[in-house]
Amino acid sequence: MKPAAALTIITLFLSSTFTILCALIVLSAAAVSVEAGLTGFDVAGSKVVLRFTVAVSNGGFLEIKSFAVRMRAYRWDGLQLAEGEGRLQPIRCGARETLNLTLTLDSKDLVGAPLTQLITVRYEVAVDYAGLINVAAAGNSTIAVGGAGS
Amino acid sequence: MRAAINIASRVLRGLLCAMPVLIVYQAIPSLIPWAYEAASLAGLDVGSVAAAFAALIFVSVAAGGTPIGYAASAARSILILYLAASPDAISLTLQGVEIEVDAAPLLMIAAASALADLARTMLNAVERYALKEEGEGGAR
Repeated sequence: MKPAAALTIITLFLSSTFTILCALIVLSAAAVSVEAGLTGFDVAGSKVVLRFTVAVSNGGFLEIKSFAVRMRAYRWDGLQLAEGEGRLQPIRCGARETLNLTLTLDSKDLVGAPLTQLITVRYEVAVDYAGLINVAAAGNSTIAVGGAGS
Repeated sequence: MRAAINIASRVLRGLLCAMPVLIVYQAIPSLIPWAYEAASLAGLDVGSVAAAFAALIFVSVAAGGTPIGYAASAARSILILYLAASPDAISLTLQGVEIEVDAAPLLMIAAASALADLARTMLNAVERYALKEEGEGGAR
């Protein structure tokens, strides 16, 4: 066999493998959804416990090997108040898993918060999708505390 | 007449090979609506990368067997290698959420395929031009 012919076969094999895998991932990932939100809060003494729920639905045909979330709460001046993290693994095809996270704040830290100021929650999500793709997402969400402690 | 048919055939073959790239680029937002929102591939705009790929595929197929065709084929492989070698291959920002996609296993397959294709293109070009000239020289 000529080297050029061998290289053609290798190229065809690799490029078709790549195309098929990409198509599988795109079609499968389109059926994955993540819903997250603040579900409530408790006040116990000087502690304020914020409860978050993260729900992951894997409607695709590839398994989510791991789903990790880390949340950090920051005060209006940038001081970190609390941190929480959770992990789901694995999330099989067709499954819906929920993760409950809590962030415990000390109301003393919120004294002096202006009425218009907010707590910022920074979240970082890491997803290992079928061992083929790692997705890292990070963003901020704000929670109004309405001048707590003032 | 024959030359015109040959050119038309090459153009049609080029379009046939380049169109899937554009079709996939157009179809992805219907599956993932936010797919291209502030997205970039190795710091490049996704639309520009798709257009460049489609153009290079068109030229490499339509002008196959000519120096321009070999150059377009090599450029396509080099573009794939550049995208695969870039550390932040796929990144996008969606409503304030920064998303980084690390597809190392997939990109390694793409890079291996591009390398093999580049080697094949070079080998074909050398066989076609350098060895041919050498043969002609020997004949003289």
